[in-house]
Amino acid sequence: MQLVFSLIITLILEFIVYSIAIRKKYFSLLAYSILINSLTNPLANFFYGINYNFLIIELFVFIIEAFLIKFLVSTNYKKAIIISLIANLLSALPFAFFFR
Amino acid sequence: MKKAILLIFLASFILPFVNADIITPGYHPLLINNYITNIDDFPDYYFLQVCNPPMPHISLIKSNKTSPYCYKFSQLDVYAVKKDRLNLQDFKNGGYLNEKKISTDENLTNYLNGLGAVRVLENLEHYKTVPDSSIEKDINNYYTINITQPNIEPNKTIKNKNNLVYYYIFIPLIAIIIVVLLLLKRRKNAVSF
Repeated sequence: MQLVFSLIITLILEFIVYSIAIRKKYFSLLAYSILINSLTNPLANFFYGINYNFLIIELFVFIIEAFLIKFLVSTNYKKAIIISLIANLLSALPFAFFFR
Repeated sequence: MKKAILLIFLASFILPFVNADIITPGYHPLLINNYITNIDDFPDYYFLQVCNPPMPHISLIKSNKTSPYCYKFSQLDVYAVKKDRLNLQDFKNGGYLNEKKISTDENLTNYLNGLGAVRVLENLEHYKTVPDSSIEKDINNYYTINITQPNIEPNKTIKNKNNLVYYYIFIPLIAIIIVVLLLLKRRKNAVSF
């Protein structure tokens, strides 16, 4: 249940970041947020569970999400990297401080 | 000032014990079942599950399985007692022995020696915490007992996995399939235009 909660919180936070950055097609952005986080969040949680380093996992998540944002949202690399960085900082920090 | 020092001094003793009973956040205890596979080979014996100090208690094993209720820092052993030596009235309270009889390490040893109890299983695994994201559901240890020699290692261990396997594998798998299909469709549309 905690994992599902973590997934929902993450995808809501990241959807907010995508919406602020892209400012169009909000329904599609929500769908992309669900897709992207359904891919990265369970895998990240799995690796946390086997005690991998938090920063290394977050770095991988950031890179994968940057690529996914670039191709799904059809934006340029620079913008995708910035969106991914902000989205992951925003979603990772509360969990780093409060849930771990 | 003296009171404050005394309080800090007391707290430094008490807090580690308080902390010892807290499960690390993000972790949960795993169910561990210990089975005795050949318990029916000893019809003349009762088997006692002995949870040693710091929180000792003794219970009668009614099936071929030990009870999971033993304090995490206690060593769990199983003793065999000849049926004619054990008074079952002592275990009327839900199969547990009155704790006053075994409140100290010495009382416990005296009680077991008085029964002529023989340790048949020693230091059974009974407490383990795993991360919440662990796919381990439970651990089932199977022991074969021998009245003349205590067994320490299980003969067989079966570990079951929980539904999180689906969470970790199927959700990302479905997501990646949808992403790939979406990108392929988009590419196809771009080529056709």
